[in-house]
This record gives sequence, structure tokens and C-alpha cells, in this order.
Amino acid sequence: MYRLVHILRQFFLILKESKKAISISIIFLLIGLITLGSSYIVGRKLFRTSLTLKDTISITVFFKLDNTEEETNKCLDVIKEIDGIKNVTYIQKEQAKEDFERLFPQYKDVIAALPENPLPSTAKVEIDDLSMGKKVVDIIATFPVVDMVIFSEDLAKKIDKLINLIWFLFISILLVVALEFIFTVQSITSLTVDLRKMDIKVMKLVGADNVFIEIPFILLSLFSALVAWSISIFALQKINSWSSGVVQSLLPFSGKISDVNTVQIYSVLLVFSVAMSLIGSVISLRQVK
Amino acid sequence: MIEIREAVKTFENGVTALSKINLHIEAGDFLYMTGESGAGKTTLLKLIHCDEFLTEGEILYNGAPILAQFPLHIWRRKVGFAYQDCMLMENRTVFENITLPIQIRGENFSKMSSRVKTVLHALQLQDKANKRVNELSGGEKQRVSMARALIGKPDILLLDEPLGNLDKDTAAIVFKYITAMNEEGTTIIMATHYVVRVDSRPLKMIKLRHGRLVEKEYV
Repeated sequence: MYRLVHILRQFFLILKESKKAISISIIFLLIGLITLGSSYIVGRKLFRTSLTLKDTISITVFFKLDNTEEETNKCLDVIKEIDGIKNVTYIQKEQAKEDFERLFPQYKDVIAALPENPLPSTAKVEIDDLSMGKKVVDIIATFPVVDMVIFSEDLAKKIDKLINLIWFLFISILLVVALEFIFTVQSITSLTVDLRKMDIKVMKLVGADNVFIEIPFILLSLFSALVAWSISIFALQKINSWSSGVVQSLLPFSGKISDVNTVQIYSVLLVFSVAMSLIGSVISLRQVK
Repeated sequence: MIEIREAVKTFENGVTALSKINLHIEAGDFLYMTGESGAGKTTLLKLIHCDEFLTEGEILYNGAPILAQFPLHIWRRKVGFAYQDCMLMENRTVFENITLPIQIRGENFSKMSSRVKTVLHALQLQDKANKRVNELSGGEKQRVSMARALIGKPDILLLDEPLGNLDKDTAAIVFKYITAMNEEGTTIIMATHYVVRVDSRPLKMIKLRHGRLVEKEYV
């Protein structure tokens, strides 16, 4: 118990003696945490919004106007059997007309003036994997009752590319920040240890063990990481509210931008900063030995 | 208690500091180690404290090699060493330096406070407790080094020229304190130029010259 008190005492003494070095390390760690946290927030919002957007992409099948109901239903059954089909929603001619009139009320009279409903029945085909879209479209297009098949392949590809880019950027930033974190903590720990080489020698001569000598330095790096983390929370709160606008500008047709769980992000960043500072300080102390 | 057998210490630069030293020190002994500068007194103390290691021979504690019985840090907690070159934490206060052995052992400050006060008083450092070591004179530093060695009530006390930088009166006070510790059972090995006889207690003295034990005297 008292040993712990004395170790903490050593930690506070070193902290008092190394204020400048610790302040510099906090600034570097803070930059790293804000970079990582903001890229995570923006990346996650982009990622989730892209996924939502991707979910809305489907294949629209327009049936020929002169099909019988039986022919259309048969075709729908065949479509449902194709591999990779998630869901098929059938929209009858009447439903299509109602939807059209609701969307474009200005053309209601035009539609009413026509001798018969000019809108074909359609089917909205959702698929499991958008990369299979082209294949599915090619199959459906061969059915004789089908007039036209529309699939926004380009948009799907762009979203896929965007998702891959988000992952790539996030993993790269994570690695860079992890390295920056370890390097900063390791350098500062080495520096503070180096400045206290003589003190450490004296402690060893008096009978100090490695725990008594090393734990204050590890606590010092944890302290820097925790201070940097605490400050980063304020910055990341601002970035979180500001980032929705950025995502909206990147994905203008995305509708509502998904929110992120900030508590989860802060917890992950806390674990990250503690783990990286531990790794950095332990590496440094192993080198000192 | 401590037995030194055929001890040889040769440094990396080829200088032989000690050759074929044989010595037996009993528990509670007060051993004076005399000799000119460079005779090997400090080296012998450092070998006992395990700051240096023998090239040949062995040092036994209670019949067995020291590091076969204790980890290095535990041995150093049993043996107090007042270095001639002080070996203090220069940027820390006198109090921090003196209480270092207490902190390392994880002992309670308040329990030890009377002992800290006694040692500070005995070595006339009571008004220097909150001063940084780098603000002290050579003699004061030496007393701080000694206070640190004494504070933990070690089984063995190694003193390297402890009175060298002290004025006559302070040296007398310090010496009195050391002999009191010896009377309480602490084994003391003191490297010194001067042998002080304070009472009629038996006195053990050895003399080193060029790394060799040239005189062994039990008075």
C-alpha cells in the first residue's frame, strides 16, 4: 500500500520536473487523437450513409403493357428464383398510376384524359450483392414479358469504391496515428529517463527494483495520453456536429446522415491511447535496460 | 558473516585493483580499512555492495555467495553504503534523498518520521531537509549520503571516507552516531585515512597497499 503511495510520489516528482516535455508530448498525442477521432467520425458517417444509399439501389423491371396478369406473375416467380435475389416487390399498373399522380399532381388531368392507363406494371428487384446486378439484369432482360430493365450500375460501383476508399483511408490513418503515438511516447519516455539516468543509478544503488523505477515513467506516459484524450473529446464533439455537413456535401442525395455513437468512439479512443502509450513506454524502458 | 576468499578484481583497462584478498568479518564488527589513495579500499566496499563484481575468488555471506541468496536489490537494501562521491539525486531535496530507502521498501513515512528526524538531527541536517542537494556544500552532501545509508537501519554499513569532508566537531558527532549503531549490532566497514579510538572496545583494522592486504590488526 505505502509502496504504491511512494511510487505515485515518484511519478508526481518526475511530472513536476518534466513539465515541458510532457506538454509537448500531450500536444503531439492530441493531434494524433483528433486526426484519428475525426477521420473515424467522418468515415463512419460516410460509410453508414453509403450503405443506406446502397440499400436503396435496386433493379427496376418494366413489363410490357399487353401482358396478361398470369404471364406477369409467372415471370415474377421466375425472377424470385434467380440466385442472389433478396426481395421482389410488384407494382401493378393501377398502383403505378396512383404513385405517378401523387408525385406529379400537375399531370393528373393528362393521365385522366388518356383512353387507358399508359403506365406499365413494374417490379422492384433487390439483390444481395450489387456486383451481381449486371448478371441479374442480363437474365431478366431475356424474358419475353419484360419490356425494359433499369439498374444504376455506375452509382453502385461508385458507392462500392467510396466504401473501399473510406476503409483504406481509415486503416492508413489508424496505422499512422498508432505509430505516431508509440513514437511520441517512446521518445518522451526515453528523454525523461535519459535526464534521470543518474537518479536511476542512485535508486538502483539504494536497492530500488524495476517496478519502483519504471512504473512512474509508465504512469507519466499514461497521464499524457489521458490528458490528450480528455482534451480531444471537446474537439471531437465540435467535429462531430460539423462533420454531418461535410458528409452531406460529399453525398448530396443521401437524405438523412447517420449519427455516430460518440460514447463508443470516445471509449475506443481511450483504449487506443492507453494501449499505445503503454506499448511506447514499455518499448522505451526495455531499450533503457 | 562476510567472508572474502582469494578476491581478485581486474578492471577492463587491465588495472588490478585487488589481488588475493582474504578477509573474514563477523556480525557486529567495526572494521577499519586503511591505506593510501588507490589502495583498493573503495573497490573492496563496492565489491561487498555488489556494485562491482570479482574477477576471481568469491564473497560469501553467512557461508553462501550473496547473489545466490538474494536478488541484487534486496541485498542492497540490507547493506547501507555512504559513498565517498556521495551518489545523490542532485535535483531532489535532502528529504527526498534521505527517505529514498524508506520509499523503496514501501514503509510508512509517518512511522519513520521520528527516525528521519533523529538522523537529520544527528547529522546536523535538520535545517537542510527541504534544500536541493545541488545547493549544498561537499561536507553537507557527504552527511546526506551517510544519512541515507543509516536511515534504513541496515545490517551492514559501508562507509567510504565518511569523515573526510567534515570539520572536527561534526566528525565527532557523526562518529558517535556510527558507533552507537555498531553497539546496536550493525556491522560497520569503514574505509578511512584516520583510525579513531573512542573507547576500549576491540578494534579491527586492515591495511591495503596497491590492492594487497598488507596488515591485519585486531586491537
